[in-house]
Amino acid sequence: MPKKIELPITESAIRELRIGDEVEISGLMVTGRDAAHKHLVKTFDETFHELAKDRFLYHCGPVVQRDGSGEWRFVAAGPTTSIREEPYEAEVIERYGIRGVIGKGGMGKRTLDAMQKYGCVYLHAIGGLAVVLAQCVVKVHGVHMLDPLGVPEAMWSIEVKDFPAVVTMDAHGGSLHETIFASSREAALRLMEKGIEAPPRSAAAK
Amino acid sequence: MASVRPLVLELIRHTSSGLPEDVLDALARARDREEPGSRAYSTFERMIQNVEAAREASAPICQDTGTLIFYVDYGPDYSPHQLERDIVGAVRDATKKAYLRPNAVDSITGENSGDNVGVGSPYIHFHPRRTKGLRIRLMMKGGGCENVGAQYSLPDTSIGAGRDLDGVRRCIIDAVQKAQGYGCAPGTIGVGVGGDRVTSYMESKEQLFRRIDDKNPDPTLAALEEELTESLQQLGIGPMGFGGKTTVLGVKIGARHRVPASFFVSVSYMCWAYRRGELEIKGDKVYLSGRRMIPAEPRRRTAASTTAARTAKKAAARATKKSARVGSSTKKSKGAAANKAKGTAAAKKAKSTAAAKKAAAKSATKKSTAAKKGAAKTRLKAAPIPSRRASATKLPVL
Ligand code: SF4
Repeated sequence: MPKKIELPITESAIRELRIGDEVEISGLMVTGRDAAHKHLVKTFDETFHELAKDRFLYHCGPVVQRDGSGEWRFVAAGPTTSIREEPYEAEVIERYGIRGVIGKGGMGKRTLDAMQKYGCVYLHAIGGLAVVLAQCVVKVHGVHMLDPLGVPEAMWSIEVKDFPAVVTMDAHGGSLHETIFASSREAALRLMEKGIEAPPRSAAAK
Repeated sequence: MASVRPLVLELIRHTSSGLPEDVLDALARARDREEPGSRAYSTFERMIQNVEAAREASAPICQDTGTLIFYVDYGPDYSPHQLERDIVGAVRDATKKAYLRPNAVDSITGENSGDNVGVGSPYIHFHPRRTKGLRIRLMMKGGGCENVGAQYSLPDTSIGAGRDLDGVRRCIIDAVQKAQGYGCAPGTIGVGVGGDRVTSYMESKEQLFRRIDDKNPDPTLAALEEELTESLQQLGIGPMGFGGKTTVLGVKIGARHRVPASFFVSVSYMCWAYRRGELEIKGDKVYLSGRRMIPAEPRRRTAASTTAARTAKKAAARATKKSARVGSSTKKSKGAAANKAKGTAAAKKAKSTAAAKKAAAKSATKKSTAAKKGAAKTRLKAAPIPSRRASATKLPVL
């Protein structure tokens, strides 16, 4: 059964999460991808710090619509591949006090170490879940640096309700990606060794 | 011929906002294999929910609407040049209506064309055929899963793969293990054995046009597909790589002749958002992924159902003949024959219920078709295909 997470969240609550935990996230969080990360390590961004401290950073390039009354709405809000932010993420976690990173595909060793040190987790969203995840974004509170960065790259402050994800890297150095890679490699080698009977097709041997 | 642009637009909308029945069934079966309450179970559950929500909203099931791959089989009553214009036009329309995300990026300048049209995009294969009518198949291949595809050149000592079926099997196991959940697992695995580098990958993609629940007509490959579909689950990668009992939904293998010096094995990974659709025009009937489209846009005035049945029978006979003649394309032709047979049954069924509606609709549509034809022509002139920057010889002629 999924654990309910309310943002903001404390360091000790984050350290209670373990890899494999299923969660549902509610509260305010912020999006950011390539351009935002580059910007965040170049300067200390006060606004972002306020938006992201003790909350989650979501690797997402949303499709956003503005209705007649000027309200923004997320039309598609699936995760983007996180490993592209590997060169920046450790520093972003340290500087801005982020407690969680949401994305897909997992991240590398540097980020994992930073997560252990500062108390942060990686939450894997389900790729391809465009419609369901957009429905989880109940309100767009505002947008930071829309002008220079553009819609997909800007930092959107959004309120989510029961946003589903799985903890795949925890604050204890655990990584579900590493565990599953190792066990699946073993299984793959076993399968290869088992082999198949000689092919009945004579052509295959030529 | 009338413009098929609105029909192709509907094909794109339909394909982008849902999954074929066989894929949905496979996802539901995968869910039911897991413990209720486990993360694998709820992940599958959410995937299925997402498809339902997308269908309802006519919205793309995944924001990556992928590479558009069209396979067109056209009869003597169609012109490939006009079909190309219609398809490209429909792609533009679909992007405007947000059925598609603008996904065509100039590789040199990084600029997005904004309408999914560019050099080599969309990607259309034409196959002429002798029987009248038209079949357009569409696959939307996501970028994430395309990235985890792999091509092997045998022998490959790193995985102990020699130039035989056991070597082929090792490549498939290796590719699926290395893909982990990155291609939005569980995947359906298309495999091309033999050919050259291009046709080998092409075969692997063409395999993905097969239904998940079909059977390879080649008994050796059928056995390998079945064995791998079962044993690859032991990798335990599960949906999205979260761990679980289902790592692949199916494995589809095709083989081509090769030159003695080369032995390629190409693996294409299709994510769970496995979008493929089919538009078929037989006489004045239009089928969308096997279902009769009503109202159809009649192209001819003949008593349709009998003609369609006759055409289907002829096509089936032809397909069988062809399969005897060309050994390597056996499976495709047989599949086509089976499809045609199904189409006939459907046509018969549709006949009684649709007859009344059709009679009423016919006189009305006849006039409007003529008007539409005119309109289509002017629209077509306004939507030119972008000049192919590269010379024709540089484009792969597939
Ligand atoms: S791999 Fe498929 S499901 Fe995943 S993001 Fe790409 S298109 Fe969507």
